[in-house]
Amino acid sequence: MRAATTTPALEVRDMTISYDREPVVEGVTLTIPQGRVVGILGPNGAGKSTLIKGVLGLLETDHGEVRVFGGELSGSRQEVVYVPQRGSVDWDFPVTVKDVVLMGRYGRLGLFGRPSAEDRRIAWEAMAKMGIEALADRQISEMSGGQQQRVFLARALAQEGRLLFMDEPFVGVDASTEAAIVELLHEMRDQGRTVVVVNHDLQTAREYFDELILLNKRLIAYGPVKQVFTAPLLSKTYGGRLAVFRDHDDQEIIVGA
Amino acid sequence: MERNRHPRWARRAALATFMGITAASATASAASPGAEIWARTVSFFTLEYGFLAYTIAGSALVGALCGLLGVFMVLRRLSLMGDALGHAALPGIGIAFLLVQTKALGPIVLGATTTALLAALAIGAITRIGRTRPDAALGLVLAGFFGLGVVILSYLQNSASGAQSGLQDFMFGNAAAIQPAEVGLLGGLLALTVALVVALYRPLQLMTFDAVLAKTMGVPVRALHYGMMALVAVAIVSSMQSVGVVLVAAMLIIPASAARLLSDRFERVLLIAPALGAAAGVLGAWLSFLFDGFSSGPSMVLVAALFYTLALLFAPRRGLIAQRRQRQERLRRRDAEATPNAGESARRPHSAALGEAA
Repeated sequence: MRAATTTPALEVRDMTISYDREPVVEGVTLTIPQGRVVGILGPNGAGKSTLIKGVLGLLETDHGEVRVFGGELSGSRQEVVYVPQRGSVDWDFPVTVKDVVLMGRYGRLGLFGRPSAEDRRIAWEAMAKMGIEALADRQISEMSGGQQQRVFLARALAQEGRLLFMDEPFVGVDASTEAAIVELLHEMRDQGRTVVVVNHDLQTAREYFDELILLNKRLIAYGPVKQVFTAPLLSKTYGGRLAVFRDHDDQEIIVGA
Repeated sequence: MERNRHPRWARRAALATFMGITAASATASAASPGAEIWARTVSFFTLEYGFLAYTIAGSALVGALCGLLGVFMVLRRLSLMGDALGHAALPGIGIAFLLVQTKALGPIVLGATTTALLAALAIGAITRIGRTRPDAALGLVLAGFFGLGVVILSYLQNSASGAQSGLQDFMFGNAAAIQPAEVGLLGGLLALTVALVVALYRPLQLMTFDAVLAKTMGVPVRALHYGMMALVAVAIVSSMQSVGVVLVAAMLIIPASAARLLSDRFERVLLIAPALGAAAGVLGAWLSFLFDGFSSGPSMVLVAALFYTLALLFAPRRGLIAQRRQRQERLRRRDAEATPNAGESARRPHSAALGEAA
């Protein structure tokens, strides 16, 4: 049974994660509704990636509770999709683009399953959506940065989840890929899916996301972009490493480090 | 008597193939070293001595088994783990021999597997508790266990029973001493490994490429990892008789690395690596049969290294020669495009100016 759309996509309660007893994420509590594109902003070392890894159960947490669509994460494994940073895998691995995208279906196959014609069709559609059909039989080491990100996103699409976590999808991609990713994010939101995106570019945050999480070890603020993307909250998040300018139209220009 | 121990069909087939060659070699002078090598080669491949059937079968199985498992180890960057497991098997061999006083296969395999797995656990524990980096922990455990093994073996060799038991074979391998039971064990292990790789092909491929994603999908990554480590440990231990503990890791690493150069497809790498491994195993055993005093382990590793070198040079796409050709091709195409293009030459003065500034 699908959870009602009023059920939050993600609830995080009092999550603390430490490396070598040094807390990296401290006491984060959040409730994200369905159908939002949420950006996580914060300076380097603020624990942005750590937070989503903790939520996904990839890291041991000191304490904290995670509920996905109102239930345990283990009960919604196929609904939750993770798009890791591009650099996290070996792009010289001997597989084709098609193989990688088809991996998006493996979670549903069980240990001994074989992909069906339906799985292959879904993988093809995902590749078509990301504009990489023509690259299907190419070895992944031939991909450019933007193409690698498209491969990852096609794989994520093939997973057909309703809650997606993307870690720095805009890093090192070309402008047309960036535009394609943004279009995809908004399309997913319109389908009622929820996407949480780790990002560190402040300039684009306002137009890309519906809501923002400002994080610097602790949760500084979470809410709609208009309420959260303000000079006081941003400077609280970035500390001294932030400069606010005003251009001639009196628009704020904020540069974070 | 020895001659009758191998299957008759194998002897017939081999004999038929080498009939003419044997005749030719018989006419050559027995004193010349070339003729001697030829005569030994003929007797090796015609299985002239009964034990050779086991030598050849065992060496091929060792190469194939290590080659197949090596693909996963190399692609997951765990190559040196195999080295540690191999070295850590040595004290287990010594301890098993101390306890039962014979070179019986069962206790030795059990002892060696036990210390190899202990070493794997020790590496993990030292990394976690001791704040020692994984590479240092690996080197530390490898050397520590191996040192212990050498001490125990030295002690045994000085005692009367150890001296005759051929325990030193476990250091560098002696394929000629492979027993039928070991061939059975290796065959069983290879069959099991192939069955597991075929059955678990998708999750294994996913885990090897992207373990983190596999975890988020609910694939039991940890169980698969430890299962594979246990299989590698048992494979290493079963390969000791022919390759020896010192170089067994090379049979995991080299054929898999050569296969990777030869193909960009995971499934093909999984087929090529065991084939290269098996060929290196048999040719290595042949070399050590040809020249008295050549241990079979180093011989197999040398053949594998030769395969790797050939692949490095001549691999169709990743080989050095192919890459050189591709580079030249690109340069030629760029020049061909640049020459008639005025826009390109307009950019040149800029770089010339930079050159002057420097």
